[in-house]
Amino acid sequence: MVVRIRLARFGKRNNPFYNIVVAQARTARNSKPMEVLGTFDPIPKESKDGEGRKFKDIKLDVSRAKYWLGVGAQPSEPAWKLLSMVGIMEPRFSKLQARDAAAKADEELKRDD
Amino acid sequence: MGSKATSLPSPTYIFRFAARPSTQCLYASQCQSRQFTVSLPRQRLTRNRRKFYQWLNGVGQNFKQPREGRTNYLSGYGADGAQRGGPSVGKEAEGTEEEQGDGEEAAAQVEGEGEGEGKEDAKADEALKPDEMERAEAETEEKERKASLREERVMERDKNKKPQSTRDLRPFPLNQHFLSQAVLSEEFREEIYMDIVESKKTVRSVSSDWGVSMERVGAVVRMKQMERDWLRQGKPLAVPYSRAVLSMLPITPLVDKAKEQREADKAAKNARDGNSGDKRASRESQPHEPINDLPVHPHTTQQLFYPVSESRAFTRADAGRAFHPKLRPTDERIPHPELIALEQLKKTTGNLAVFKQGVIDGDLASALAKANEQKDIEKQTVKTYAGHKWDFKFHDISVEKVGKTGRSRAGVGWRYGMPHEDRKPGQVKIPVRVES
Repeated sequence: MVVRIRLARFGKRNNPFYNIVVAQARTARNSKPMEVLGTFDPIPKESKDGEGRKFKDIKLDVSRAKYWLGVGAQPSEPAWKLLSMVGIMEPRFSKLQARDAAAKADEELKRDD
Repeated sequence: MGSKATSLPSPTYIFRFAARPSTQCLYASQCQSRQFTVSLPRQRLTRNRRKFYQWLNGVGQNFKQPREGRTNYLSGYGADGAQRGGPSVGKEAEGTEEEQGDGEEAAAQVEGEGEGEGKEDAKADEALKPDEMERAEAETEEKERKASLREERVMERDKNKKPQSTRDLRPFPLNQHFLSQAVLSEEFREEIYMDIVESKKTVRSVSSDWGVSMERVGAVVRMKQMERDWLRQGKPLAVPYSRAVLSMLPITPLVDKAKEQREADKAAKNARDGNSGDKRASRESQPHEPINDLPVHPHTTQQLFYPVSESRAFTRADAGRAFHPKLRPTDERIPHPELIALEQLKKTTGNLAVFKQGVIDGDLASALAKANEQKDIEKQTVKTYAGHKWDFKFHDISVEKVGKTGRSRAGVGWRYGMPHEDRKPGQVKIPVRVES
């Protein structure tokens, strides 16, 4: 069975909060995971000085995440996005990239024609 | 059947009959009275009721209207409804006492202002080149203005008056130990806010200057800031409500600091000359509340027998250490340790202003250092990724903190196998801190 790094939704209605967990892929979303790597709060917070940019708070044990990736854990799509921000995964699933790829494919098609 | 019922009217029948409305009422406005409340009120005059009305027409009359600028509690009146201690006596005494203090000054101020205005008027007159009639008019106007100014001043002072006796401060006659505490006046709170925000003083220095606890200073600044924010947002303030409540409570007025200083100097001079003088400190210069109370530390609540040899010097620091190795001495744990040094400095001929400024600078420096330290820690542990709309702040944590059972409170994340009890009755959800 595959080990995945994925998000488990906690929190309340209209107030989501995620644990970033390492779990067997076939287990239930909120079942007890093998390890809790951190948390992801998807609701943007106002910056402390009240003027800067909003921010989302993420807690993550980076070294532990690296270990799990090293032993073959597969991140889910949202988890991949988060891990790529810290620089431990190659960026994927980004809109810009998808757009570039689509443009490239279009060009190739035109060239073929 | 019907005739039988009328011949034997039972109470339930009467009620049922009466409960049926005579006409159907389509519109509420046409209904003069509610048709179904017909049962006659019991007008038996019990002794209690009689006594109640007696009270209402006697002593109770006093509570129909609030007393302006004073408390209006039950304890303030005797059984006959007369004010205890006599209202007029108390007020007069207060008035004379204050007038002795600042009568001259107030007069001087009014005159000074009058002169200023007079000069302005004179300038205007020169420019216009008026005749004597106009000048006379100006003079009368000036007099009127002076009079109104003086009236305003007196009203202001009356408004800020505190009740004289402790009787006036007891809301519950059976609880002699409960005294209602004074609240800060509107001007006082404004002054505290300006000190912190405009003059950039520290909370500690403002607290010791005004005799208001540091917690209260913080609360005042926060509430005043909220008030300003609301005004900016165009939200209405409950000003009449605030005014009404403040008029019924004992109030700590804002005192003129310069005047207070003069009085203190005078007292010091008297003390130096050996005169007993006016030992009673003016009520106004008394602090709003005790600001330097020692907080009770849980380690010190136990009884402790600590044998010490007589030859050894046992200081307060040692006493603290006897309770707990990390417990600091009393002199350092009080909210204002600098006041001790200040009192010692007063005995010598040291410069108080320099010392006070030094305390403020020290506080500011330590606060800045703390903030910088926090920033450094954040820099080391927090990585920021700039997204399209917002930043993503990654805090590096350790999974080990959940402990062996995975249930430690220091662990990160929503916990497993722990019901979230926020919907359970009896859960207190009052926020204990404010996110800055």
